[in-house]
Amino acid sequence: MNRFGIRSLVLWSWLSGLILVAGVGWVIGFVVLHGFPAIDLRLLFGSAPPWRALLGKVPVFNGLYPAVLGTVVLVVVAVGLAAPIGMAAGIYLAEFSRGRTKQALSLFFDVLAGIPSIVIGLFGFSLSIFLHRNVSPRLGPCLLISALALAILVLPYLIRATQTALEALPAEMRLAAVSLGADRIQNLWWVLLPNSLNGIVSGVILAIGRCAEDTAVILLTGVVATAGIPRSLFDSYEALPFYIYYVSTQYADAAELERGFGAALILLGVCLVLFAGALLIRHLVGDRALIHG
Amino acid sequence: MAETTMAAVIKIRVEHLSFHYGAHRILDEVSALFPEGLLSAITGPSGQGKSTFLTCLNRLWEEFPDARAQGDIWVRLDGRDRLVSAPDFAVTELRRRVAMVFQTPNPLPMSILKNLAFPLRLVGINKREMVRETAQRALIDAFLWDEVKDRLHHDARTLSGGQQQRLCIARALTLRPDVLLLDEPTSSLDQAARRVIEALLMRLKDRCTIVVVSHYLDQIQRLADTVYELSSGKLLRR
Repeated sequence: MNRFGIRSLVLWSWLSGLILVAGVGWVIGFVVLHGFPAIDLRLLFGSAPPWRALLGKVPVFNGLYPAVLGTVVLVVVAVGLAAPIGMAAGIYLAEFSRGRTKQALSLFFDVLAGIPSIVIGLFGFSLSIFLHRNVSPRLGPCLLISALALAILVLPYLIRATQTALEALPAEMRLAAVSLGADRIQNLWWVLLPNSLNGIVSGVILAIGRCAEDTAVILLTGVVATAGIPRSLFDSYEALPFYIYYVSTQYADAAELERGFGAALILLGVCLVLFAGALLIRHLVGDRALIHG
Repeated sequence: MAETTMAAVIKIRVEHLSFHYGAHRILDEVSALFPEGLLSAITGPSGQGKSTFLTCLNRLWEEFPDARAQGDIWVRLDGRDRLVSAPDFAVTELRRRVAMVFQTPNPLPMSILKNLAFPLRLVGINKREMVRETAQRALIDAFLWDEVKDRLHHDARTLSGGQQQRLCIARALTLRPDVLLLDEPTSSLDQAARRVIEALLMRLKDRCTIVVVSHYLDQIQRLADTVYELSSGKLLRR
């Protein structure tokens, strides 16, 4: 390539990066600008006294606190269900499967990654109906079904993240432990996995974001406009993305729309806190495995 | 070869070893004897399979795809000759007793102490004092203790190349192996670091049988008790 070509390529890459950052900055700035004025204790707790509401002593009827809790519980349960399974599948793909099995499974997980979330929502919905009819009439669309459906939705991210992180490790690192007399499990557990944590946690963060924002799945599997603080995994619940969706389609006045932006800003905040939690776990596990402990 | 047999106990006996990568033959019916408590060197042009030969001794070759080995290798452990490929001889045990140091230092991406604790952990030794004591002894043996005693919790990869290689030797020594295999252990190091490692190897001879691959003839002259040359798939005693 001549000099002009290389310069154009560099310029193009710069521009693309700039546009991307500007786009993200714009969206976040927009949400902050519109949402920040709406955020106050009333938005979260409505007319209930905040401390008593936080302790669950009084119900919150016209605030977002139940939706915040619903989203947090939903994300934690969904990622908690998906992470061990996804990591195990990723480990299997990277370390144990070979040849045709590996090809077939890779294709299957790619297909799974490509399934629209509304279809997975339908699956969750059908599952809840099945359970309602065949297991117990008390079962129906609920927090657990939503979490289960979301777990299926984010499984491919976790599988791929784990697999690629493991496969990217240098061959010398693999041989180092093996030459000292480690068996495959010891090598995996004490060397390969701790050194893949960054990649795995990237997958977990992606999964958290996906679970926190998804509306299609929860719409069909148990989210409702008013449910109060989630009492158990078998009840319907409130969630922030659903509130945002609901408000943006049916707002009556400007103030209500502003509350929607407030909810969006809170959702971003919830995601940040969950990301920080994932990074903290990575740090603690990594430190224990590789430095101290 | 006969005089060696007479003079010393044979630690490793290689008989008719052939090795292939796919269709490509690396070793052709190779035989060799490595006497106990001596330092044997394997030399020869590069790309002839010296490293491959070394990986046959601890069965590390089994980790490489498309690799195939035939022939017998016996290692004398606890007073009896054991066939390394015997089904009842766990490869993990073999590798703990026939330790290996690579051409490029390969500290695990962990702290210095964790690197030394690693082999102990593999055999279930976790007690803090015991691990520290063993680590200290191995570091002293590898001439590294004074340089790292104040930073045992630092990432091992922050050490210099020569220090990393001595750390790898120390790590290989923690389980008191019978045999130490070294694959060009000084080729990635500068002159000073090379001298330190050579002095270290001379000291270690009392403790274990050493097989070192090297293409430095002066180094072999200084260190080796017996020398083999590998060329065109054949291993010849020099």
